[in-house]
Amino acid sequence: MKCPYFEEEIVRFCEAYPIRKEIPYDSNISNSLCLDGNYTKCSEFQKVARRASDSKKCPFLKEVVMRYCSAYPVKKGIPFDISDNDYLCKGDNFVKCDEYQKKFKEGEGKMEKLHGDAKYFQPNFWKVCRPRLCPNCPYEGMCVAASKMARDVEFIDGFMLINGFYYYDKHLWFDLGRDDTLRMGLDDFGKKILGEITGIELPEKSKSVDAGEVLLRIICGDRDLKLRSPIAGEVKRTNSKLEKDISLINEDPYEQWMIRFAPADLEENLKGFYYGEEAQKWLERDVDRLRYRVESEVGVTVADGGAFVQTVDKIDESEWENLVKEFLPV
Amino acid sequence: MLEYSQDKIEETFFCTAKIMDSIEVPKTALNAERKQYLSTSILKAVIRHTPDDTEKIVGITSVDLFVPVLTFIFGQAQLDGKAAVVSIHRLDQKFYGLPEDVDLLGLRLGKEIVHELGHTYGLVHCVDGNCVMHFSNSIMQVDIKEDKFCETCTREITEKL
Ligand SMILES: [Zn+2]
Ligand SMILES: [Zn+2]
Repeated sequence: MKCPYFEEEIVRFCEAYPIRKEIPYDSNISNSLCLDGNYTKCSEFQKVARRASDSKKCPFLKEVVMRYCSAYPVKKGIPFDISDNDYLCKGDNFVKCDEYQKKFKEGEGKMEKLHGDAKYFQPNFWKVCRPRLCPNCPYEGMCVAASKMARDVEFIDGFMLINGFYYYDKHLWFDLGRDDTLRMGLDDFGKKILGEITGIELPEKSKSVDAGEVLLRIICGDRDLKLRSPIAGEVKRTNSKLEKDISLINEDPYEQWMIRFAPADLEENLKGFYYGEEAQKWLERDVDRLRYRVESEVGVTVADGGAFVQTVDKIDESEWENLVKEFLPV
Repeated sequence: MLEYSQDKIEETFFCTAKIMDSIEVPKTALNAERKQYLSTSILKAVIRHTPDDTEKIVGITSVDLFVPVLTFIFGQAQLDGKAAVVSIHRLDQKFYGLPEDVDLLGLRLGKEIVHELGHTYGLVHCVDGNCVMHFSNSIMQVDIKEDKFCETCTREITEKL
C-alpha cells in the first residue's frame, strides 16, 4: 500500500521569469496571458523571447509533475527515484512516519463523530476508492456516507441508517412522500445479510397486495428468496432502474428504492415502523443479536468483536438461511 | 502476563484463579480460506478440558478467532455457562503495525477476560460505554472502556457471585 498522503500534482511555472515562479493550476489559467495567445504582451516574455511560437500557449510555460507529502505542515517534495528501502514515503513504510501518525489520529477524531470504526477510516480514504467496490470495501460504506453528507446518516456498529426514513422491523426502509405514498427499499443491514444481490423480480404495477403476501423475489448468486409485504396497499410504481442494473442496489441500498406503495392505511403503517432515535435503538439491538447465537452443544454463546462479514457467500447455507429467517420478511 | 490476568480475575470476582496447563488448538478449528480459527471449536475444547470442581474457565489463545457471521472476534463466552475463550491476536499492538506494548496488551487482555467471564455469569452487553460489559467491535472501543463493571453491572454480578 502507498501512503495516503503521497500526492502527485502538476505544477506550472514560468521559465522566462528569473526565479522559478509557480502558476496556480486552476481553471482561471485559461484567461491568463500564458495560455490564451496573448503571451507576447507579457513583459517577461518580451525580455527573453525573440518571436512567438505557433501555439496559443506560451513557450515558457513549463509543466512538471511534482511529488509531495500533504501530511507535512509545509509542502515537502519527495524525490522521484527512491532507492533507499527505508525511505518513509516508500511502500508500507509510511505507517512508521510521525506525520502520517499525526494525521491518522486526526482522522480518528473525525471518525468518532461519524460513529464509525476509526481503523477503517484512514485519512483521504475516498481518494483511493474506485466506484462500485463498496461490497468488498473495508471502509464499509463509510465513503458513501461521507460523499453524501447532505443525507442525515447515522452509523450503528458499521451499519448505515438514514435519519428521516421509517424502518420496518425486518429491515426494510420506507420513505414517506408528499403525496402520502411510501417508497420501500432494503436497509443496509438487510442488504449485508443477503450479500451481493444479482437479480430482482418486482411485482406488476397497480397490483394490490395484502400484508404478509409475497411481494418480490431477490436473487443472490445461486441463493434466492421471496420477501413478504409488511403492509397492505397498491403497488404504484416499481424502480425500473433496478431491473436494468441491479448492481446499483449493492452500491447504496438507500438510494435505490424497490416499490412505491399507495398504502391502504398509512397512519396505521407508520405507527408500526421505527423512526428516529427509536430506529437507532432497534438497529443497535439487532446488531447485538448477531453476536448471540444458539449452538446446540454449547448453549447460547456471545461473540465479541469484529464487524459483520463483507462476503456472506463464505457463510455456509444453513447459517445464511438462519440469518435470513431471523432478520428478513421471508 | 498470565499472572497479571490471574490477579485481575481474583480481585474482580473475589475468587482463586489457577493457571492450567496449555492445550492444543484443535486442528479442525482452522478455516484455511479465512486463515482464522473457529472460536466455537476452541470453546468446545476448553469445555472438554474443564475439571469438574471448576466454577468458570477461560481459554487464552494467540490465534485469530472468528465466528461465521463476524470478521473476527476478540472472544466468545457461554452465556450463563461455564466457559469462555479470549484471543490476544488482535489485542497486540504488533497486529496494527505498531511497536509492542506488553503493559497495554495485559490491560486489554484483562478487560476482555473480565468481559467474557461476565457473560458466563449471565451478564449481557451494557449500554454504558465505560463499562467493561460494553460491546467492543474494534480495538479502539476496547481501549475506551474501563476494566471494571459499571454500577448496574456491579450490582448484577455481586448477586451472582
Ligand atoms: Zn460481550
Ligand atoms: Zn455495565
